[in-house]
Amino acid sequence: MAKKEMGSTSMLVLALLKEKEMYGYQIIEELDRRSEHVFQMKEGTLYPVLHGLEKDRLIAAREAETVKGRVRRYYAVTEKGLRVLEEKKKEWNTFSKAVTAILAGA
Amino acid sequence: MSEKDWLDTATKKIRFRPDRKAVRRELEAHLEDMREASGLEEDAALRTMGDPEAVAEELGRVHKPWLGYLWRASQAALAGAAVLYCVMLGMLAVRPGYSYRVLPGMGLYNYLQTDVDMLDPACVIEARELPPGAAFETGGYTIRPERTVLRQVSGTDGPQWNLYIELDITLSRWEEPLDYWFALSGVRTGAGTPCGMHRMSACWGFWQKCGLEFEGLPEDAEWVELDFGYGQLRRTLHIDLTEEAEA
Amino acid sequence: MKEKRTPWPRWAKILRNLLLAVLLGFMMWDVWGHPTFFYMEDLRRRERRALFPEPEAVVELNTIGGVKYRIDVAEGMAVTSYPLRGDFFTNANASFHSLEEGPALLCVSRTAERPDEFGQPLTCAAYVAVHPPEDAAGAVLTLSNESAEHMVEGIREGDVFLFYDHEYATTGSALHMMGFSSYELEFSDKDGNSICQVSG
Repeated sequence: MAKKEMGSTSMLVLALLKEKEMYGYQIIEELDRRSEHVFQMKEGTLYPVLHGLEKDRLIAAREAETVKGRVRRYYAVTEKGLRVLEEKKKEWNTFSKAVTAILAGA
Repeated sequence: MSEKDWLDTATKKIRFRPDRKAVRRELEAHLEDMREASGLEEDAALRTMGDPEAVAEELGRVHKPWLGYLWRASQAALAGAAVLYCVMLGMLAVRPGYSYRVLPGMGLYNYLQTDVDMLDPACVIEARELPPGAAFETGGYTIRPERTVLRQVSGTDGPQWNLYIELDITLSRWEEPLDYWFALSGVRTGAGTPCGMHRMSACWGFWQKCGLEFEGLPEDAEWVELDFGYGQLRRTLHIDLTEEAEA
Repeated sequence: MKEKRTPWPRWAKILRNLLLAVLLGFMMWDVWGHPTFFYMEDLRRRERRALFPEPEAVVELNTIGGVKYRIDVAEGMAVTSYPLRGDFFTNANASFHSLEEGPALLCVSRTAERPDEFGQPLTCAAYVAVHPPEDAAGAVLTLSNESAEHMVEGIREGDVFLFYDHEYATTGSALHMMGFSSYELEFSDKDGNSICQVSG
């Protein structure tokens, strides 16, 4: 499997899915809500990311039918996904501390 | 651009059809969710979805068709094998002398049912169990003599002595039973040779059962020797006719 | 909410399909009677089943149709065979001949071919004398029936003598099929002295 550069979007998606299983539209909504409209992802960008994470086995999908008969794909984070998320969180913290340190001096 | 066009464009780079349909379904459901939740008009909704060409690129990069093609190929292989199996069964069934081995398991069943001793007990005047000869190994075959019986039977020319030997043979190669017709290279007794011989064999997998019946042994014969194999593979099985088997 | 059964991952489905296909293939091969696909494979298998050891001598003759006729010789048994092409498999048409002590004569059951001085193949009948005396340098085969006697010179090739009969090009696996009722084999050493005589 090619080691792709993990974008920050992926990290945010993983973080959201850690809390609970969500389907595509739900993810967009949550991101928008929690970031207080800072992250307003284009729907079209989300799905390639989701499917990429699924192919890398960081998240797993299952299909479920709603009351109205619509089929939704729910994504949940896997063990591997949790580990990768922790790694990325550490990296991000190191990064943001460094940025903050430099900006504080400016 | 209509919703249908957007979806078609966005999924056009996913080459494997079942994958393309699945992704399209997911995106369609997303659009429905969005329409319900936000109540936006078609154009506006599609604009928030983003540029379909860019999405197509990304999706195309993630959904590579190779595993899908491999899956189709494996399905074709399985279907082909199943069809071939039925055709083969058909071809065998019309062949004369078909032995009804529809499944490999039937060979084992037939093997277990086989009674290598086919002699009619009504002909037997007297029977004596002999201790079986020693097991031996040659050419990859392990030959274990089991039931050995010296019988006096009423033959067409009067009573005659027959020696019946049951062999349990372990094969070293799958379904390559000992060809007893040729593998038996010689028969001797101390007083001449038997005048006739019947043979019977059943085999499955690595096991073989073989029954040999030597007819018309000389009356004063005290032992029988059977030669199996040729050259360096030759082995001799010695059977003592005077001993009595333990009860 | 209705939930679908967890589907198998794609790679697992591929593996399962391939394993089932292989299993079906094995079952087909088993039910068909375990045919082998190649001539030598079939010949070796038949030899193994007859407890025939590694041959002491192997002779190959050219016969019509470009078919190589093969004779494997061991103590007490000789195997004559040639490839027989079937629908899908090439089998060995093998015959087992038990041999007594001493030299023995085998009839080649296919019409043999032997190139003449110009390299043109001539058809002829062929005979093989196996287990000749060690020091035999020459051999003469005399074939006879009620009406005539016929002599053929033998050529030593390794541990056997080959006889090519250009006069009578019939074939058969036994002497009477070749049109003769008896034979006499005479071996001579390099000085021409007769060493051994066998008849049958």
